[in-house]
Amino acid sequence: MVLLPRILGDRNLGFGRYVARRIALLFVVLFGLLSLTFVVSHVIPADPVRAWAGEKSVLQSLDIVRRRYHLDQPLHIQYFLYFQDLLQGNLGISPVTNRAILWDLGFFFPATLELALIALFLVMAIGIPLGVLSATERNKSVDHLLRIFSLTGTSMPIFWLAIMLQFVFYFQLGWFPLAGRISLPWTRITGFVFFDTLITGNLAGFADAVKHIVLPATVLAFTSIGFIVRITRSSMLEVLGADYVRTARSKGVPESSVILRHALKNALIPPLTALAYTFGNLLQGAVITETIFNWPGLGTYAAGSITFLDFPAIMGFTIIAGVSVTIVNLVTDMLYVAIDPRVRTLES
Amino acid sequence: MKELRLSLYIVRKSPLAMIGLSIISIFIFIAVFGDFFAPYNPLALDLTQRLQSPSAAHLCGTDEFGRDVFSRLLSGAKLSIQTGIVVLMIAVPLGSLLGATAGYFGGKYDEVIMRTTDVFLAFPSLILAMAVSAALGPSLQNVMLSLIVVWWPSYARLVRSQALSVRENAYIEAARSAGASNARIVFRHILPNSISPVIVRATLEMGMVIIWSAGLSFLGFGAQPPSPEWGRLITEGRIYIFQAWWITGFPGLAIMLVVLGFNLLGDGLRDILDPKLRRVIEVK
Amino acid sequence: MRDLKVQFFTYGGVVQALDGVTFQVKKGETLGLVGETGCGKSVTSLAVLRLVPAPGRIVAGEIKLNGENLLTKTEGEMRNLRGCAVAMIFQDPTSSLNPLFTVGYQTSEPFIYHRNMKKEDAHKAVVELFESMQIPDAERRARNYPHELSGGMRQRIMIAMALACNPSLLIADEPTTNLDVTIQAQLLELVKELQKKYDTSILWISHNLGVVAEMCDRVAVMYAGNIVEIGDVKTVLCEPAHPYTRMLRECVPTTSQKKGELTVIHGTVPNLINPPSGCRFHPRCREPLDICSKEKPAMVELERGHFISCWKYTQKGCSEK
Repeated sequence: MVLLPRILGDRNLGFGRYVARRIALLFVVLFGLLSLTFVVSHVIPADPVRAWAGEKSVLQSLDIVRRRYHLDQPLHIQYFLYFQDLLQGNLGISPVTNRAILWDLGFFFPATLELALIALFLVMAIGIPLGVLSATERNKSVDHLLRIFSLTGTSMPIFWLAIMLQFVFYFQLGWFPLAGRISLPWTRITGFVFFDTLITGNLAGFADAVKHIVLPATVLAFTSIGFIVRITRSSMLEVLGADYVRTARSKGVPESSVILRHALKNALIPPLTALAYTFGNLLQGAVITETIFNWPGLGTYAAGSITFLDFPAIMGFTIIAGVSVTIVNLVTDMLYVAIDPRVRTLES
Repeated sequence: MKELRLSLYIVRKSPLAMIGLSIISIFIFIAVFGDFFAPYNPLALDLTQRLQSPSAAHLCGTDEFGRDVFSRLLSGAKLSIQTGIVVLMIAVPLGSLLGATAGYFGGKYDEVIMRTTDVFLAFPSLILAMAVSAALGPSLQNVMLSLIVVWWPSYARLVRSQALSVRENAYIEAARSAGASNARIVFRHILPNSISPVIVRATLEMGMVIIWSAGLSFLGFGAQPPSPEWGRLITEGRIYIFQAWWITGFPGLAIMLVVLGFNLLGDGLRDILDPKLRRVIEVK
Repeated sequence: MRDLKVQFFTYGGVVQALDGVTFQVKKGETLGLVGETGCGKSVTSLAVLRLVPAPGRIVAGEIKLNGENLLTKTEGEMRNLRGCAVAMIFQDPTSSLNPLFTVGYQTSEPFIYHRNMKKEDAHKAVVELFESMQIPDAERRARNYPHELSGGMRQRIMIAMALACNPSLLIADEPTTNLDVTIQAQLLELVKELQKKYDTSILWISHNLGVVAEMCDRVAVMYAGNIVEIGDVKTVLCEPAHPYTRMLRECVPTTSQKKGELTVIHGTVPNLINPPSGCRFHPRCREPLDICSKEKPAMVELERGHFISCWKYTQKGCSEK
């Protein structure tokens, strides 16, 4: 992160303009996203109000609910009213939970973010070195083993892996807890359990949270590791055959430096692009993983709101999903700029 | 001829691709003839045989209704492969055509298609699939439909970028000056030349489609009981996981093996079609 | 280099790239190596550094640098020699420089690894080196990235990198082929100066006879993995003995030629998986003898310092080398 001030200092105007442009694009895509979600969630045969109100509902109260959510208005008016609310920062009230959507999102979001970030870290920290190893030991047994390992990982249905790991590591071995985020009481400040337990000195809680996150994070990471290994491997192989690697060797640079310095930096560019894609995958995988591990995050929230046809909630987490993915894209692009000087010249 | 000999040589040299091909062949065979080989009727209940662990009589054990898991597995293979084929057979051509025309014609039409794919791709696909399935009502057909909706944009993008480079080739100019209509150019020149990455991608993604349809069924959006769809089997077995792991274990294993087969084959295909990798293969 | 054989083991067969290459570069002299594309010039140069890429392997022969046989050295010992006792500059400076590191850093690597200098000292040495290479504004140049510099400047930097530790042998693999004629002239002047200054031996690879004529003291002509003629540059280029060299000379258009067709050598470079039997040039030779397709001619001394590998001259009863 020392690089950021240097980048901003060097070409201040260019970079700022670049970020502004990206944010503008975010809004355009978000608009399309929300419109799409609106269409999907409103053009259904079922009557949502019935689902919200539950079995024992009286016809009049249904009408009240309908009016409250503008469902008695024609479709295009609903569309307009929704965006009007949005621009005023009002995401509405969930008809199912009866709380403000924004509040619900804020409550569930940290859990998913923690899970996804730790999984992402695992994927990169394990995947990239294995990919490098695979490339340097090309076609030897290590390479073949890693290939099978990667392919197996991406071939596994994530929900099945989750269940089987629960079976082995909880039921048979008793190493890790079955589900949930934490079993000990903790004070909620930001919602990020690792942060909160640390600053309140709740070390037992911290350890407990760690134990709880192992299985879900492993499951989430496992299916994406293979992809990163493959990408790193092929990118590394390509770089190792490049002319500048030959030059480095001809200068007598020690092999470890050739690989870890000259080659690796160049080879990291494709895996980095994959980072944004992987994060998107992890978020989706989180939906399934959370339902199995009873993780109180957005995934569970999303699954629930779809099942109950909770439109305001669906719109709400769509915004979050869209914004998260765009932020990750932005971060990836900034990493690009930090690594590759050629991009810096282009963007300024 | 030399290309074919070379490709066969490489595939032979790549034991993993061969394994993939065999797995897929077995899978297709089971999908077509599975019902004949099933030792028991997949739908037959036998409450005296509930929750039996795997044995000679029941290769994969029995479930909570005494149904033979192995037979249900064989019967479900059909559903998985059907889903994979239907989804790809519709999404891929649809996406490719849209992408090819977008790349070739450019302009406003291209912009519209690109923004549309952007939106679809920004949406977490699984959620979109869930939403569409939920909206249409749970059934395997609706799962196929929702997967088609989710799957076409990436092919549109892929083919579009191919089309953009193919468009610049001289022979397109030649065809146009010879009086070929736009439709002819798209179908005769643009599409065929954009096809090879599409084939590799589609083979690799067949596995993904199968996993996703199983996933949607697992969540309750897809096939309904008593359908022996593999994702469904995993859901039903989940409640009994601690007493009878085999009800969930074997269907998941089956999914994994099949998807692995497609991935191995796709990997091998990629090696064949990548000219750079070909140069350095050694003769022992 | 004596009798060097290099082969590439590919899916299509074994490519016999170098079939017994023999030549010598004396101290302080420049030996040119000319030939068509694909004749094995680059492989020869990479073999000296033992950097022949897989699936290639050195299968026979001897390479001696300052009396030491390079083929018996360990990888670690070779690494100490590369960039220090023997260095190389490549044809394409754009792809041969790492795009993610400054040229200053890349040039400092020989200093860091061979002279054990610290980063700051190496940097100072780099700036000094740039200045001696007549690179203006050396301090700023060192902080540039390759893509920020012109082709000629990049090549200058490659030369600097190679000469950083005063190697005994500099191998130049077509360094000026990709550059403008004017830049080319500048670089040739520069290299000549530096050679005089450091008494470096140079192996200059090129397919351009004009450059070779200007830069080299002696020249070796290569065809399909064999040296066919080697000798003093004036002799070989002005009074070539070998049929191939003669045809090469005729291909160079001169202003005194009558306008009309350009001379070409008919045929193409042979397939080295199944090379022609005997003398590899015989299918394209204008005056082949019977024996040419049966046996490969040995290298014989035609006159002092002028060697040739051709049956026409052997049968004239000259002494074998």
